[in-house]
Amino acid sequence: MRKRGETAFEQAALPHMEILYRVALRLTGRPADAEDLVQDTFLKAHRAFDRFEMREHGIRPWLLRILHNTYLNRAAKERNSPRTADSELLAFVADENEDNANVLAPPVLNYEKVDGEVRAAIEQLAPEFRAVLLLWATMEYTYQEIAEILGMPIGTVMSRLHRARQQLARSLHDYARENRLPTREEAS
Amino acid sequence: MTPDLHELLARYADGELSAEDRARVEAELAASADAAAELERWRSLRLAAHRALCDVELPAGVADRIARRVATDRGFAGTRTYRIASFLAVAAAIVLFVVFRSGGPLGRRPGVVQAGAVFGPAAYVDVFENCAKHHHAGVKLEGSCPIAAREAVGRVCGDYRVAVPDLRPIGYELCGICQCFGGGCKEGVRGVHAYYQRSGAPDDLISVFSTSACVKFQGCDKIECRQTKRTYELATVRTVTVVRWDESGGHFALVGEKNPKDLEKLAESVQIAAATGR
Repeated sequence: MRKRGETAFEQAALPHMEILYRVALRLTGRPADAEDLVQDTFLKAHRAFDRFEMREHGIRPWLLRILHNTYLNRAAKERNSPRTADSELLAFVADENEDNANVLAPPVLNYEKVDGEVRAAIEQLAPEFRAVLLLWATMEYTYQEIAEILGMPIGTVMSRLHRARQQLARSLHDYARENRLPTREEAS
Repeated sequence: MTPDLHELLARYADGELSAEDRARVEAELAASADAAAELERWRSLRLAAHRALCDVELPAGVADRIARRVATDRGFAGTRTYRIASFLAVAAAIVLFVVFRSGGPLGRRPGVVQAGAVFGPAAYVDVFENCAKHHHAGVKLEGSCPIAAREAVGRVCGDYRVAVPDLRPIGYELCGICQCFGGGCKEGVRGVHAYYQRSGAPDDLISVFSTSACVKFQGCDKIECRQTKRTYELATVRTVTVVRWDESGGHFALVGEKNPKDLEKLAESVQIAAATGR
């Protein structure tokens, strides 16, 4: 049995390779792993292409979802002791309650010159938070679209994004303090 | 400013508030220069994250490699025609003689431990790169190179013996055989590694492994598992490809610095045949 239009997949999917690689590199942190992850993603997508239904936003969200799931599966195997969703959620809820008492706004900075600090802070994020932040920052997807791509409730997306943004803000405050730059709090 | 308002401002910057919350934030923005300044910082933070994450370009060669891999996958997902064509591309069949005697793969006695091991494809590639290319370069067996397959019976780890395939019909001459493999006997896996050199192309080396136990790759996530006539596991480590399969109670791998498609064609032409014993 032949798949629908053998070149249809290449035409629809391969143009998104650079974006997928970008996300994969930020998730894995290593070019070789990123290439491996993107390759796996395309192979899985190719085999499932018959079941894919093109929607309003095209094929990219579907590809990103495959990439994310593949990444999570690999990470779970490497940890060899995957956490359950429940324990992940409980840990998160506890942290969030703690955070709510101490929410930070981003400091006053020249944001044109802190890309390196922002990148470093993102790399420090736990994978589940990093994935949400990646889609938020690089793709400009709505929360609902991110939720669909990652297969999680929109509330979880909002919570994780909150945590991730707080981590960025905290890192930039540290950076400002270390470099004796005036933050908002000090200025006022 | 309340913690709640910080988060509302962040979500306002994202355009993600309900009408009610949006009205509340806009009232605050109209009344507070601090709130307006903070809103700008949330927007700046998102832009900084965008710049920080988007300064990545696809390295040269990656797009081609992945596109080739997808095309290969398409081919293998196709009809029998592809298999037949690839089979005919290598006209000469390679026959791997497996020696029955003395506990070879097909003649293993009941009760001998055959538990699988997981070394990953790098175990094969390390031997291929470090053994064939360096340590054993130029080693000649039986006093001459090339040597006939039937003469090159590896005897490793005591009673494990296996004959190696004759690849001369496709232009590869057997140049060495050794027992290098992963932990060798220490890991409970006995293996024969034979390496070949293409006539007139000294850098074109390939290796055949035959092991006493199934040495699978680490799951099927990083590799391809294909169900053709045999089930192959394929993996590429750096520029080296490993095609592994099990057949007739034996465990085999073909390794070379070739693209997966070409190496799988070679593997597809390898026929496992039981020798009558020696």
